[in-house]
Amino acid sequence: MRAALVAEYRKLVSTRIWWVLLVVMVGYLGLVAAAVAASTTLLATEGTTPLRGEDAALSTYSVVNGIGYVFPLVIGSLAMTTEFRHKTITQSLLTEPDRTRFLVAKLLSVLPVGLLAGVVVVAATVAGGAPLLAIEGDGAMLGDGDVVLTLLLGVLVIALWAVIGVAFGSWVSNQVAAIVVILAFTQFVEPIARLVLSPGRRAGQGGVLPPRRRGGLADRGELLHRPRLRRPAAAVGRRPRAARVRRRVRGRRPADDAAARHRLSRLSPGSSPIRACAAARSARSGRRPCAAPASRGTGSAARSAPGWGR
Amino acid sequence: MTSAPALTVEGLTKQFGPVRAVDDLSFSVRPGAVTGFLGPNGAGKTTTLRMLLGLTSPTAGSTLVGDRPYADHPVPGRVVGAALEASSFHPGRTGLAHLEVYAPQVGVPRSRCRQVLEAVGLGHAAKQRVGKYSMGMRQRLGLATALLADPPVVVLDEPTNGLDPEGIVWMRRLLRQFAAEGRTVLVSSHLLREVQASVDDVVIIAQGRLRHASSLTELQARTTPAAYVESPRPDAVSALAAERGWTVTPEDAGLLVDGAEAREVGAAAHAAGIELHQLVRRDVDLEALFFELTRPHEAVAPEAAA
Repeated sequence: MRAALVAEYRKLVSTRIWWVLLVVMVGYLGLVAAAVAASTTLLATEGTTPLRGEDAALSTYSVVNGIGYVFPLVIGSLAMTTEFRHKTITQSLLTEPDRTRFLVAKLLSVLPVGLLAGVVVVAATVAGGAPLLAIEGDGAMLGDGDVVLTLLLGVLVIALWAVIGVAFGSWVSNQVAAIVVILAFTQFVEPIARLVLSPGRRAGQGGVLPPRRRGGLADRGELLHRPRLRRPAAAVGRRPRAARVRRRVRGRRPADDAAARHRLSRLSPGSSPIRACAAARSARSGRRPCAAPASRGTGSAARSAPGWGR
Repeated sequence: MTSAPALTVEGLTKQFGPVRAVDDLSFSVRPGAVTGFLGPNGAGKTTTLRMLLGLTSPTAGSTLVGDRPYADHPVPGRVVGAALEASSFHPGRTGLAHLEVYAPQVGVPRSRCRQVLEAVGLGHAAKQRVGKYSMGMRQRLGLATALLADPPVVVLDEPTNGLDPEGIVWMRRLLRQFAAEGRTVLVSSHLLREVQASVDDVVIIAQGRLRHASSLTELQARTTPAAYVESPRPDAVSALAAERGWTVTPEDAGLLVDGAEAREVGAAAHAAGIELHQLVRRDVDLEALFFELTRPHEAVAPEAAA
């Protein structure tokens, strides 16, 4: 068995595809993590829904699980389908006539590369996301238990996807078909299925498809479908009434949110001057001037001018 | 290497749907000799070899390497070195890496890979990707893979395909050397001419059935001499042939005399005072005999002279 494992491992690392995919993966996920971090810190504008603190960190770092898994899946499936494509399966079975041993060795042989991929891609995600979170957000949260656990599990998840890739490649042995199916599923079917199967109900998520993240507020589908209320860190605890309303609002349908937001914005106008103004305008046909919030707020206007920064 | 295992094929049959690729085939391959496994394309050669090597399971019958089937050997790669498909390499791997992939399972160190690569004349291309190899280089790499564990049995499928004339001579010499070392060597080919110079025994199949199995010498004994003659007096030549028991058929501007060597015809004509303008040797050679043996018709009964 050891010989078979060494042989399979050598097969994988003696070609270029694994590190080429690794480089692409690192670059891609680093960028996506930076983008997600930016969306929670820099780019939040009217209508968007920034996340705070641990939620922001988790949503940034969990892009590894959410979209990164396509890479180990491809690496794993290539490890098997390439045997069929280049007919090396003949020589492989000549030297290892025991099919079971061959398959088990193949499945296990991708673990080292899978773990390596997990480590570098988690590192890339942190490298891409942490600086923005630390500088513009509530911190990189790298000391947070949940975040650390998410990162470690991310490594494991990536390695396991590589093993699943081998299994998939054994099933769909045609290389082109395997790649097409993987890309179609991960980039098209799965995101759509996720939207359809979990329309904003967090309790129902993950029942059908593997969970994309831990501790989750980061689901893309949820972000798209269910604009969440802004949650100014400075305001939490200071405005018990606002918090109460917010708690009530959470869990409602998107359609309810406009009204709720209106209500909330009137309770804590300092956190959202523009929105408060817009809401006021729409409510009173422009009779009220827009400069009001600072004057009728609780004195936090200076601190919360943008509302979501530090 | 005096006790190299023999190869035995017994009542082997393989049915692919409606097609019977191999039909009740039996033959054996002895150590210390090169056996040519011959037949036209689609005769079932590769299917037979794949069954012999445990890659395809037979519909009926059995194959043995020594005393047991290939896959039942503890480390089959150490017993049989096989090169089946000349193109079965990952193009992105280097020649050396290709050998290093298979080295652990046949129990040889990395240093042996370099050594065997040198032996087949690919030392200079060790670090080159196989995708850049020529067909001849791939054949050599396939052979290197087969020889990795220095096995007592060597099975090669069409090893001369894609080799240049120099390579063919090299392969021929190598095969002779294997036999001299006492190894069991089985070489398939669709051309008798290709292996004629290097084989001791021949196993000829067509349409999945055995057509002939014997030593090459015995096969050669079945060839018949013939001569092509042009003469201003064809009638006299015909009469002479009838007298000697040779058969004559008109061909082009002359006659084809079957059953006689050219020098016999020449001597007889000289003795009879018949003028000859052309006398050409036209033996039914091995290749023609091979075509005759493998001709696709049902009536040819399998014959085993070995």
